[in-house]
Amino acid sequence: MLRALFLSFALLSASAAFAQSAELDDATVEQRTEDISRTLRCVVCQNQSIADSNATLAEDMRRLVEVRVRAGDTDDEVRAYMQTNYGDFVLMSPPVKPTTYLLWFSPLLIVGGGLIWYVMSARKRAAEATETELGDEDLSAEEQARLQKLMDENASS
Amino acid sequence: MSWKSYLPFALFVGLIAVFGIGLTLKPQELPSEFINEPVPQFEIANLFEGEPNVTSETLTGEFTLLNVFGSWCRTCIIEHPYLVQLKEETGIRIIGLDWRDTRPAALEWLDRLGNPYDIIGFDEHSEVAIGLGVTGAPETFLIDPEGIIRYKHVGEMNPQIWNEVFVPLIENYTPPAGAA
Repeated sequence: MLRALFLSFALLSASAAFAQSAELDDATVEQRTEDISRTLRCVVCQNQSIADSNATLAEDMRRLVEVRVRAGDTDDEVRAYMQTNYGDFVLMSPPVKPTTYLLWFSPLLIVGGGLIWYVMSARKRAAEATETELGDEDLSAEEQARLQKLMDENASS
Repeated sequence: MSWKSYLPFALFVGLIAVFGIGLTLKPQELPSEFINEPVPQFEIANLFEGEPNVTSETLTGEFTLLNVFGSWCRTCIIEHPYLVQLKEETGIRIIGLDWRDTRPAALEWLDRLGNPYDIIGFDEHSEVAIGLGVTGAPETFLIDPEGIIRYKHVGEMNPQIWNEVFVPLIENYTPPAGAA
């Protein structure tokens, strides 16, 4: 009974898939298969997408992507299918979620931290610079007199 | 010297530590997405033509090993004698998934090395393998009588894995309430 149900369901979905595949021309399917394949990681040669990889498993994954595209799956549905089988790892671009916040936002943190550090040290330097820049008014009367004397001596010699 | 002058050295030591830890990781062994999940539905041809198809339902009813192999797979040759021995000693049901193979090559391989499998599915185009998240051969799944995947071992089966991982999982199994 269950098997009969399952079979009839399979037949139904197969015929539905067939009906839909008639609407998709080969060029579209090929393009979408290619596009989706670029976003899926080859689980054998792990730094390549399945579009780039020559691994036999990647070949079969591309084939499966194409089958599902023809069956009427959206791009996201195909990716979701691969994700249930292989986990987030199979996605070339990892999803943004609490466990990946550090991965996604650490560049921002580093740039932000660097900016704050730069601004703070720049201010500090500016403050130090104004402190060390001595004007006439910073000299006492005695110092002024001495300076004047030295300059006069210099001019006369 | 101020503490800042030690900063580059500290960074260097930190990086070495990160890389050192990285070297001990095995990124090839993806954790299975299916631990404690039911076996995904599938139906696939039998390796022996004329015999009934292999389905996900075939895997239920008793503790079962689902072993992914192929005649092209070198490690499978190494693990094969142990599967034969395991079958003889424990009688556990072993279902094979002949992956990306040709029928003649697989049959010749089994003739030569012995056949510990109760049933063998023929997965020429990775349909079942991808559905199970298989990344390489051999891989061995432990499936409980309810058809729930309890463990996946990547690489060859050996006595150590069997005794330390598989046996405790089987012995500590309690059937869910209400199960027949």
